[in-house]
Amino acid sequence: MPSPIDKITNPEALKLIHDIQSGVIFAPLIAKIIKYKWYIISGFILLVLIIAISFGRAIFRRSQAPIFTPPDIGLPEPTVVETFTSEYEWIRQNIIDFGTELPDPVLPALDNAIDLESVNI
Amino acid sequence: MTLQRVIPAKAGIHQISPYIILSIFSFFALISPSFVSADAKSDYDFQYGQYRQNYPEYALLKADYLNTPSLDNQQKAMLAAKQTIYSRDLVKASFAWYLLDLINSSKANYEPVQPIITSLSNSREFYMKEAQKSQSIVTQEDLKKFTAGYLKDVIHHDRMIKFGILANKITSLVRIQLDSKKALDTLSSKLPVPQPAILAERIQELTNSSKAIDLKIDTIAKNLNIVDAEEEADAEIFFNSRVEKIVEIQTLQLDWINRLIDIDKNYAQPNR
Repeated sequence: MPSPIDKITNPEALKLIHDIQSGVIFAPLIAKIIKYKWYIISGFILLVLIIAISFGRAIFRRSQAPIFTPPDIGLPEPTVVETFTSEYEWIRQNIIDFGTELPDPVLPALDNAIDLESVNI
Repeated sequence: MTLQRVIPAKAGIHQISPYIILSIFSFFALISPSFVSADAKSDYDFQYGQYRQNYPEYALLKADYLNTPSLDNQQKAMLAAKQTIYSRDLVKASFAWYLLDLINSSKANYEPVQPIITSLSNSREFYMKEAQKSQSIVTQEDLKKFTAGYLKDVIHHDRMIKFGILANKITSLVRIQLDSKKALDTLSSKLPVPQPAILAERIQELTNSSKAIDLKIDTIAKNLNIVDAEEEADAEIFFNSRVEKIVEIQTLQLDWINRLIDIDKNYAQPNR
């Protein structure tokens, strides 16, 4: 039974098949790989490193020690000082306000000797 | 008047009456502040202000007259003197009224100062009469006689003013005593029954202290005998000698009320 390739008659296709089979088509690619092999190797190593770091980080996160936070003790409340106001406070205020100075009210300064007789002013 | 004339007249009155009522209300609204503000203190301030305006004018015109004794200067000085005398005696009368008002506002009804209150009222009348009398002065000789008589008669009344100042202080102290006693009575009704021994002792101390303060006030008041001690009013120490005693009484009263408030705080307040 003839293979499907045997039925191909197109010379370009035949040439392509022949190139593939002989590996001629890959020759430029291989040449480039050989030319840049160190770059490719370096890039590969870098990629492997990045993947390794990612894995390492993932593993580290999983194995991280749990953080213990202190229990919530609430905010400190200010001490409320009860101010006592007695209903008799007004008496104390009256006593404090009471003026002890004398004369209070002050005597008005007045002239009792009003006349036209002498120079007494 | 015929019916035709009466009806339009009545209609006219009905139209005008709201305006009349409004005018009356407006009039009273305008004059009412003067009624409200005419208390003893404001009257005294006003009269003293008048005197302080009149006196420098009198002094100036008198100096003019003494320097240049012309008839014109004499008349000007006479008018100023009359005006000053009038305002001076109104100042004294209003000051006496102001003191009486202060004493009465204490509502102490303290018997030992009653003679002073009576004398102060009499002095006020005296000053009012003198103010009126001064307006009948015509000549310089009249003025001379008036002032000579005034200087003799006014001594007693000026002294009464000084006594009135002390009476005012004393009645204020008595008022505080009355309020304090009332407070003690009110507090006693709120205290627990039976009273703890310490509390009963403290209440007894308050009662005793109150009596001691009453006694001190009585002593000051009795020393204000206007018959025997009238001349004391002329001495410079008349006020100074009493300030110390008044301060002492005030200190005792303050201590007393502090102790009362402490009992109120510790024994009479619920949930403490």
